[in-house]
Amino acid sequence: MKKGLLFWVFLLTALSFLQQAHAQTIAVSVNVKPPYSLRPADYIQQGNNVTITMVNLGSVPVIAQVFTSLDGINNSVQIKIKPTYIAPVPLQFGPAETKIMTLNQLRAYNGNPGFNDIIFQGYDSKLYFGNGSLPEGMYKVCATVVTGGAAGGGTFSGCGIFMLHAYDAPIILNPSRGSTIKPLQPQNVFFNWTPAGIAGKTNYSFKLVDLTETPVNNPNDAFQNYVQPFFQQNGIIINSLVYDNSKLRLKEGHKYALQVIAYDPLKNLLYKNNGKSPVITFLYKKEQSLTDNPAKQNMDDAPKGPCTGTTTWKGNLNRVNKDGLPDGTTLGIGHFIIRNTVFTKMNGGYDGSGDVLVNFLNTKLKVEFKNIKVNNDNRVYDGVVTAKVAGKTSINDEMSKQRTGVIEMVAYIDSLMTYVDMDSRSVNKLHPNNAATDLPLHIDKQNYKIAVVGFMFEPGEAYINSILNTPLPQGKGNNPLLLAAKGIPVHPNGYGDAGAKLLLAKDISIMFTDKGAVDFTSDVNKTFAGFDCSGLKRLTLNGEVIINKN
Amino acid sequence: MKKKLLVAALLFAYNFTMAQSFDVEALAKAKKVDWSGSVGANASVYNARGIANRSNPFTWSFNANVNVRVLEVLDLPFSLTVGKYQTQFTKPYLQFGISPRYKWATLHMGHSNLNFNPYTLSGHSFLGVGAELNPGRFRFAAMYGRLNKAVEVDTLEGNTQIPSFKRMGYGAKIGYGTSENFIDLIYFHAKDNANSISTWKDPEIQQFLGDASTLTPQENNVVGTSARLTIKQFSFNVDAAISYYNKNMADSQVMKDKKGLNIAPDKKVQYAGKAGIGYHFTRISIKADYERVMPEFVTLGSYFFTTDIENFTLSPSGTFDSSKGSYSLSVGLQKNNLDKTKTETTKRFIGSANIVYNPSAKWAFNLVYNNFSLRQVRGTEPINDSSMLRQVNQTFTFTPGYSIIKDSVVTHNLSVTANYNDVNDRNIITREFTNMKATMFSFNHSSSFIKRSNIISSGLNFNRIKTATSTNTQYGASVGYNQSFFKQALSAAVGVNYNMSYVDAVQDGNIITANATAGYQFKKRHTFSFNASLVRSNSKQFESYTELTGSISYLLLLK
Repeated sequence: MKKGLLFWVFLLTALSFLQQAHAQTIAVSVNVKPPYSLRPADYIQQGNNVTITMVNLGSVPVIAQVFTSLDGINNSVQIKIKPTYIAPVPLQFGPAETKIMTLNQLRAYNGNPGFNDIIFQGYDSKLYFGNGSLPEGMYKVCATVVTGGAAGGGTFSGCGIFMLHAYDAPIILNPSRGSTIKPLQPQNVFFNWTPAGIAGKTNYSFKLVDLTETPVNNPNDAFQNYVQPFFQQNGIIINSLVYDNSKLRLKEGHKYALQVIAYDPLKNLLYKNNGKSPVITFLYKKEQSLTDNPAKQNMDDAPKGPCTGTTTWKGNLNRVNKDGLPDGTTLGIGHFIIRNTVFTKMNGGYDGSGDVLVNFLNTKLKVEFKNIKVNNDNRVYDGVVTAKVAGKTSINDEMSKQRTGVIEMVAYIDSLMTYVDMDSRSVNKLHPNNAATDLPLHIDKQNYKIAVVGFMFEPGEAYINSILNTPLPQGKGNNPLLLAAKGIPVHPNGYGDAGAKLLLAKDISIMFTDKGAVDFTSDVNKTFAGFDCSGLKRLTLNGEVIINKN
Repeated sequence: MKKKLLVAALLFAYNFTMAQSFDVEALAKAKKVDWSGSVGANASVYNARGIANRSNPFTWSFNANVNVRVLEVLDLPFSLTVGKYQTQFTKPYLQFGISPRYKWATLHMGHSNLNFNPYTLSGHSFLGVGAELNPGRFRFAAMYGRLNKAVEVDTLEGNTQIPSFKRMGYGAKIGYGTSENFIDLIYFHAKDNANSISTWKDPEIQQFLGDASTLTPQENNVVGTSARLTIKQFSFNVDAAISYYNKNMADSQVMKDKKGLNIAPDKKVQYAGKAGIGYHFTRISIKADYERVMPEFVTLGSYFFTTDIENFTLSPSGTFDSSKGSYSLSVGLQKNNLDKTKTETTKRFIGSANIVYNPSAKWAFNLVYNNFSLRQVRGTEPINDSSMLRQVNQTFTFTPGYSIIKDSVVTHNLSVTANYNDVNDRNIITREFTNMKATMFSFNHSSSFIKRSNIISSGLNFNRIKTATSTNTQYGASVGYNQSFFKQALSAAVGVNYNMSYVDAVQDGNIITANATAGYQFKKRHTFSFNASLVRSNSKQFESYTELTGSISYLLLLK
């Protein structure tokens, strides 16, 4: 064996000296096919992705050896077979012969260069023989053919360039970031994410952390150190997972963080961020009912729901004052939530403005406040927040900001009613996603319209001031029946169980003919409009018919 | 000795969080001391038989939230969380912060986080100092602190600690305007200390890590801008940044001799940005957004987000039928390979529609449709049909609901949920393995009797998951009962679900799930709660197993 090696060394060395005189040209080209391997050995001595084409351009046979190398163009990785390495078997080229070989085919001739037969720069040789991978970057794979034989020796090279890049990490599609998932009985949640890497090569690991039971400051921390996932499943081959009743029960009201990690079990693919998706969180929670709202920590808007239920807020309200909150702080007040706050005073009580979502008005209301007190749960514990009002010529502060007393008469009632009749003032034309609006608004039912002219939010309950201006069908002249009430308790979805009662504030005489009229009296139980939470229940009229003797 | 005491203290506080803030100006009005708060404790256990544990066998946590108010102006909100979340020993972490505020000035000390814009400093926690100053229309913020602490490489088997260099950062933002109309200019810098951990230079450690690119000392400089413009119903916003990122400072900093290490200098200048315009019409709002993040864009001021992405999204929303219904639509087109160096370009379509319709107080309908489509086209190389990703995912959910309310004391709710998920893999090879169709129907009923303080619920369900290899079908029923006692002070609920399971139309077994909860409030200050759940899966073809979880918690309102 040793004799054989010495022979080849002697032969190649001797022939190389004859190169000047008898150069025999070999054309070399290298082609690297994707997918590009992470392992440097796949560019040096094994694999089928590197193809070397060698053409003997001369007319006489030659023998040759191929030396491969890998160079990082924008990094310092350099790996190559030593020039002194002697292949067990030389390649033999006939005249004008073309050889097309992959590294696996070449290996039959080149053998397995060992630890001491390869030069490493910018790369740990132990990684090469272990499970190491190349860093991202642009690389050049070269094949150098050293020839010998009767025609003389020579050195000929060809190279191929490729870009080794990391595949995108998955992106979680469902649930969306920060969403709320409604629990089903039995549980059934569909998770899916974008596929990563190459079809059929990528597996996924699914990690779910219960942030409620294992609180951390930032959801990303849950996937760094410190926390063991609440649920983990590895080896998922498709980019989705049905979380059904065979898996651990998700707990209602808990907040979860989710990360999906793409990985290649064969470690041939590289993924950005080590395959880890951006972290998302979701809340596993049924639609909250009004009775859940008293939780002091709750800063969610009450969901749309039935108008039944109590209007009073019975939560635990401490009176430990908190000053100095920044603009944008979300505040709770009774069943309602104040958002987009802007404070003009924030010490010794707050002055400022904000928005409040009112489901039954189908909009966010612009609100303002003066000297309200906020506790350390960010809940208002003292003071009144009132809705802003436009058209102040017909609505004074007494009507819009005070919940006691009666609305006896409304100056410029026609202009007020004309104003609230505008489409932009109808709750049917509003939408909670649009910009916040001010009062007055009207609730447009088929047979009547109720104007809301005041809205007062207090820590224990909220109230509206309302007017029902209904011309009687057979009445004559411009003297409609004006029913009104101040301080009607409401919750976000309506009047609640108690309903509402709009009263005639003062006695009124309405003409039916030129010679007859009805005098309506303002007693509480005589002329009024009674509402249950879904609308007008009855209109009770009690009056005396006055007929002119003529 | 001091070190031992410190370590002992840290060991006790596995997870400790403290935060406080105060107003300097009002100190002069000193009057009294007040306080309020709560303390709570939680413990949960988990046990599995028949399969390996899928969760923590035991976790516990203790929380305290106390606010001390001094002299009517100084708030000292204090919170403490101590917990054990791992089965193995892990190093503790300690976080605390104090943020005094004076008129338009806020100072942050300790652990804090600030947001300059999404591509510069964006919510990354730091330990150090920061300030936010907003006198009039001027906007100023700055920070200096430690973004990551040094964590040595630990080669112990089973260790999950992620090694990191000590990373320091600083940044500033200066701007002019209001919250609705402003422009900001931003600078942020972060740099690792390559000497902060010693083990990473060891070739044995590098070999353990496998891919040395996961742990290299890095440096990052980012300049950015953000602006908002709002004119009546029209709005415009932009966030952008240019980043200089050196993924590996090792060559210049510590490694004179590169030989033997899998490291390479890697410096990049990249940009990222997004802009959006929106307009509110009377009954419809439209928003259009465009985002472009270059492939190698990195900011060390943010946790990981997707790069190499161009994204265009159009999102109309509005109402119909006199606002009885509303809709929210979104259509997005994405693609990667922005620098055209990848062998393939991936294009994605993401669409969603959500329609809510409440024609009356009794009826409610909700329809959700999501479509995610992905395909790959040639990049630098022709793409092979067998390796290209091509997929269409669709999700439909339809949920009609009906409510009957009788005299406000009895409420019956009936609802149906129909859900269909289709993962349609269009790759010629992998579709044989990865296609999936999941269908789910459930019918649920609940009756709430307010006078009797109870709720009765029942339901029927059908689930089918069809994959290339098998079809798993389940159908079953569930019942539940909730009763309150002593004026709602004590409440208890139980629920049971029984499902028959079939594999390829052959009965395979069954799955029983059960849960019980109880809560008791004593004198309005003490709240106890208890939760237990059971999953029992019997299967002929797969593993049969039982999982039991339980938790108990206590909350005390101090004042």
